[in-house]
Amino acid sequence: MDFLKKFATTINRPLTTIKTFIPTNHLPTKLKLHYQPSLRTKLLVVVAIFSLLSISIGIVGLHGIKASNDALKSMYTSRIITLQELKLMSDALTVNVVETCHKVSDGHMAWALGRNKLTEGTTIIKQQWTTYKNHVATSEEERLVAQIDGFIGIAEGALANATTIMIKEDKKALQAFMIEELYSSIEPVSGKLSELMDLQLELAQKEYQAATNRYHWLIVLFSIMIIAGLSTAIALVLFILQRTLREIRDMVTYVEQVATGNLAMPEISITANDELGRLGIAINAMVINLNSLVGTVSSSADQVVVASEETAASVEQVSTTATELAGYSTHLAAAAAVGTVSVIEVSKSLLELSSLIEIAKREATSAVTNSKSTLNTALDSRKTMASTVVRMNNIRSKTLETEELIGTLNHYIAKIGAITDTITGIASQTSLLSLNAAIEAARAGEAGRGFAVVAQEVKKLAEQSTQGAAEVVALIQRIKESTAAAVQAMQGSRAEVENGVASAGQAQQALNDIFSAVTSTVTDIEAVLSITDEEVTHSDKIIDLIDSLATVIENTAEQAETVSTTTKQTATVMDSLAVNSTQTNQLATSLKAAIEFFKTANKNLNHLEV
Amino acid sequence: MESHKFLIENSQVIANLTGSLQGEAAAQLRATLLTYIADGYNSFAVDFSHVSNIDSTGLGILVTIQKRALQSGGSITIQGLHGTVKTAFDRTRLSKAFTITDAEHAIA
Repeated sequence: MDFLKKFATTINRPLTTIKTFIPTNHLPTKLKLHYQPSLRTKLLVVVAIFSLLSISIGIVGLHGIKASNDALKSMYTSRIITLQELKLMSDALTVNVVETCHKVSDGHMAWALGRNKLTEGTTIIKQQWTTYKNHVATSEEERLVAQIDGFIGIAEGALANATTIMIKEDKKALQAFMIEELYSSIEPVSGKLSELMDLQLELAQKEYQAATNRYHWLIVLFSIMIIAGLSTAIALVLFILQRTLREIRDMVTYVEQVATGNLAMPEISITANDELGRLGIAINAMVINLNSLVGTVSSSADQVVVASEETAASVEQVSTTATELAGYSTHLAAAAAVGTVSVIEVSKSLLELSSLIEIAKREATSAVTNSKSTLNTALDSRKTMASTVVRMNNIRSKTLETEELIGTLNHYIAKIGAITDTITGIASQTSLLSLNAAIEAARAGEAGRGFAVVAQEVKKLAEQSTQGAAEVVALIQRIKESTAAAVQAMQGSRAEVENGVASAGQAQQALNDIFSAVTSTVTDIEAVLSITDEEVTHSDKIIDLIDSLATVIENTAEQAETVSTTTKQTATVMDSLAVNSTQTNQLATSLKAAIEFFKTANKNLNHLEV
Repeated sequence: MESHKFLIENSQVIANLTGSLQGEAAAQLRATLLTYIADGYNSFAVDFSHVSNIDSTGLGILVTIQKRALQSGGSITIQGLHGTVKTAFDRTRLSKAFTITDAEHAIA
């Protein structure tokens, strides 16, 4: 699996390098430059200057119009109304006074009407004159007004006379008045009024002239202001445009260089922090970033080439391993298939073994029963043997006793010859003794057989003793001989008894051995039985065991089949991965070729080496 | 004691087994079948139609008999498997080790 890890790390490496090159923002490099307003501000300033100029032109224009208006107003009030007033006065003098006087004198007008006309004229004259005097403005007017005032006094006197005449209705007086007084008093007034009216016209002429002059002056002022403003604005705009265009041209040239792939250029010098300054900073940052990007892409492409070669190698390894694995898993599948066949054999063996164990258990159970009866028999034999030994010992002691008795018999033989009765007595005693001995000999069995014979002989001797005392003496010698033989035989009998005792001891030992051997056999068989009673050999358990074993092996076979299929798929995937890594290699190579289009500054590449 | 029936037809021993083939009963069956093998028979047809139960001892005996029969060039066929007996044969995979002439089994 190690090569898989290696494969994974080779895949990861290009990713991490790409992460490292992503630049920390180059843009907000601190501006240590003198403050210069932005292009927009500059243009706004130009527009503001224009606006201010327009506003001031407007204000000046408005002011001129107002002045013209005021002049018109003053012309209207001071001259035209004045002319009207003066005309009304003049008309009143000519129409109301002179004409009325003429009409009345000619008789064309009634006296009463003439009086009214005259009064009306006088009122008009007084009223208009008072009104006119209120808005006298110039010194010339004042001078004329003072003269007219004097003449008006005379005229008023004449008018008063005329009025008196009208009241009297004296036609002659009227005619005389008309000839002598009327014209001489009225003429100066009307003459001076004409003069005053001329003066008013003249004044109006002057004011018009003044207005014309002001108009000309305003035209000049406007022209100067417009020309000055326009030229200032145009100059400013031209200045700004020129400077801006120059920098833009520089930057365009710079960017065109970048477009041709030249990244190894000195940074654009930033003179201001306006839009162009920001553009310059951005272009610088862009070129720095492009430099680092090109460097990183180049080195990354190198790494990708290396990595894809490593990947190809790894994929090759994985592919080989996958193929091997496919082989193994095919073997495994085959082995598992064999296993499913073998499990039947295992099952058969286990079942047979199980049944054999069951049968062995049964055999062992009967063996235990047999062994226990053997054991009991051995126990009985041991008891019998013990009593045999006891009796053997009794026989030995009795034999010794018999030997002593035979010795005593020899002692008494000498006396036999002397006392027959005594012999008879002794013979009956001997007979009794031989009877006892025979019983004991019978008890002693094989060992006591010799002794029984002797006892029989002793009995015969005793009977012969009792039958014939006469034969006693003759027989004594023979008794002596027989006794000696008896002693000899007794001694042999005793040796036989000794042998019997020893044999009985050996037999007892053998029985003990048999007993212990059978006991241990029983213990062993019981152990066998307890083992055969173990759970494993139990029918259901062993069937469960076989079933689970078979199931496991069958599952393993299925799994192995699956693994085999999967591994083959993996091998296919690995083949396509190999193709992919070849493509990656080609891509990285073409990427490298593409990135060589850029000519980068070495200083930027140096710190990008990863 | 179960009363199995044994029949000899064309030197083939046809064993019609009855009851439970477990423990002592199985051991006795073994002795009986081994006697037939000792007598020279090596072809057996065992009918389990009336067998109610079987344990590993019983199954093991069949294996022993099959082994002996095959050693002497004979064969053993089984029929009438059903219920727990059939389950025991399937669980121990003996159903794959024996020739089972049952019609039902042949279809399955």
